Amino acid sequence: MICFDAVTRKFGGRTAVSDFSLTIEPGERVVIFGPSGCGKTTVLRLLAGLSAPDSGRILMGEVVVSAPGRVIQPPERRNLGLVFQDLALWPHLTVRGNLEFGLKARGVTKAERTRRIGEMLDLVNLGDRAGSRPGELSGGEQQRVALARALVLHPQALLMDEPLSSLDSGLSLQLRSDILRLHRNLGFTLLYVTHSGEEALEIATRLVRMSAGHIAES
Amino acid sequence: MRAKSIILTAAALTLMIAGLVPVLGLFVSSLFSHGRPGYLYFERFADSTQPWLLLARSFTLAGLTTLIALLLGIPLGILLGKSNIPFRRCLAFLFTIPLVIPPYILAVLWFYLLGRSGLAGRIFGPWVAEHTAGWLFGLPGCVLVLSSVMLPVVMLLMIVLLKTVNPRLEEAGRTVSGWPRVLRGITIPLILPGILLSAILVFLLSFGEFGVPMFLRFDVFPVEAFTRFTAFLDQGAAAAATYPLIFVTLVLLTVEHVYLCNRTYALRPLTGAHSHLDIELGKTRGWAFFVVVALCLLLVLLPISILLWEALSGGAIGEAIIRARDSLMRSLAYAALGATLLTTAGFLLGYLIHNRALRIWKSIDSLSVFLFALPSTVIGIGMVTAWNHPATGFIYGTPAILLLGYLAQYSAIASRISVSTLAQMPAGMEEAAQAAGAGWLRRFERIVVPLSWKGIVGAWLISFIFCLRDTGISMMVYPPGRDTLPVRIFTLMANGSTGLISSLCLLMCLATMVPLVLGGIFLYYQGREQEI
Repeated sequence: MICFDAVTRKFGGRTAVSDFSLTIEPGERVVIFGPSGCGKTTVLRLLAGLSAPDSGRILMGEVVVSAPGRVIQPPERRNLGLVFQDLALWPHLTVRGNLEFGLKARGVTKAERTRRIGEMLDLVNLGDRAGSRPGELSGGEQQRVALARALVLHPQALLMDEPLSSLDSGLSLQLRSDILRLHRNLGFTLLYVTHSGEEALEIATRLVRMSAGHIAES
Repeated sequence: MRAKSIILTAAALTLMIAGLVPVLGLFVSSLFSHGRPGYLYFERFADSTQPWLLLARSFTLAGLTTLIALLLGIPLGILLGKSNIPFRRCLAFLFTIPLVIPPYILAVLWFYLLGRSGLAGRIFGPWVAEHTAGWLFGLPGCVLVLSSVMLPVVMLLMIVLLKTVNPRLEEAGRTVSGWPRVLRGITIPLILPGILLSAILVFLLSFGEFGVPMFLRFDVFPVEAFTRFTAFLDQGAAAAATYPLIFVTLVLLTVEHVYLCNRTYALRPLTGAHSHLDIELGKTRGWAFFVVVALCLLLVLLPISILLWEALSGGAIGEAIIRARDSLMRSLAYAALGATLLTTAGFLLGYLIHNRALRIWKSIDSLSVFLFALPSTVIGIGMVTAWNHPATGFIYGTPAILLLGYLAQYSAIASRISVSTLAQMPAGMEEAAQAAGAGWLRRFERIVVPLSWKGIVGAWLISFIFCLRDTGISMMVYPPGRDTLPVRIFTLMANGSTGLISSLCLLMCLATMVPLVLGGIFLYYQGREQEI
């Protein structure tokens, strides 16, 4: 279970997230939906541990992972997968290298790494692109690599920050069904951020609408 | 369009005249030595081991300096550019000081500490002084001094390079791994081409340095060229002695061009909403701070303190001001003129390169970098051979020759800063003005220049510092009776008292520190503005 407990985050004089409380049950697909600048991405970054709240707490299970002004549990120990809006694929590494980085960091053996990477690339239909670099892939393929990179670590939750915003509608539709298929197969918790109503309705089992840093509707 | 072509072509021609004429002069001059064919000098490479020994020494000195500058500069750049270490801006500023002082002055300061009659000897006795002096006058001393001069080059480049990495790439790494692995696996590989470029730059600058090895009596090739020129008055042999320096510069720049040019993933300054992720040092913060401060004390504050001690206790400040006032004023005036010329030409060249406005944009960029990497002795000797003729006396006998020298050696600084500044300006800004009917001159004056003013100010300040500290070119070509302060100190060092020399060095340091402080304040407020 993931729990935001009255979290507030300010940047300079501007409040990005204000008194934000939300509980996410395991296996849920929660979509945070709202206009640009309403604080959606900040919520994801706070949960990922890339930023600390100014007030309030974030809990994962019974453990407080972030407290006011402090990231108690660093990002790499939260077991979360994160897919960025611009994907952030490492351009100097191959597809295999992108997937392997996190596994190596967690001390997974070579044989196990090879097995998990092979499985994951098959799941996202990229088995034949393991040796390619991100720059050699199409937009849709890059998107699937980002997804595979986040999921190969078997995270307890997958955080996605407007991952389909740069794709055309056909490709976006295809990838949405890929995400839902992977969720069915792997059963992870999904926290998905978007400003597209259509995307939100298709993916969510629970919809959270944000406005000016607050939850306007849940 | 016509005005644009004329102005940019004029800027390109100015660089070519300033830079290529000395190189051509060297070539012609090297064909003769004391009236005989100059190739006789090249035969020494076959007949004698001395040139090879000098070359090996030059490579050893430059190689060791580069290694140490990288080993210290990379972690220092990471700590001061990307971590939450306390007082990081202040520390970065302090570490930059040795870069803005003429390198030989730093050698003098270490001499005051470790020389036979230095402070170490006075405190620990003559036995220690004997050993420290023996160590200082030779390869270890040269490596120590040049490493402290070159360390800020690597450190500053690291700080800039780290800012070019898309923070999302590091954040993606941070979600699965700690900072050490992210730095090793993501950040460093992404900026590796830039790090290698800084290594090449440090190697070339150390390879071409003559002031420090000359003072510390460690014979290397630039010293040989300088001695041939000044002591033996043999222009041809001096010109020929510069060939290995030119050759090494060309080879390394070609390596840089071929291997590194297309391996840059993200080396453009990021603007906009990219917030940079800082390394939280946690429990190691105190230790890291302690180590960095200790290094700063050793390499910067200790020599500066010795300088202050010697200068203030020598009671020669007044004499130094009287004896060097004219040189100091001239230095400041030449540096201001040089910086203005460099900034103007550099901005036009930067615009030319950034917009690929002329077909020769790549050649112009390569030429300016080649000239910057070329040892100052080479450019200096080249300028004498090219311009010291009755027909060109109106240039050679006046400060114009110094300005030409500055333009040849340092135009890459201003043009590269300008390219970087222009890269941050959306192309639509100028295009919108063009669509509104503004001609190129008006667009340039009303849109491009005002939007680039921060880069222009930065380019002027850095150019000013480089012109002010210049020793190599100034020493070779200063007009009679119009020496600059670094030249005056260098010539007085042979027979001046410690008090006088240290006071002159203090004046020199203060003269270069003022623009550095101004630049630091400027960057501090610019940084605060960006944070807001």
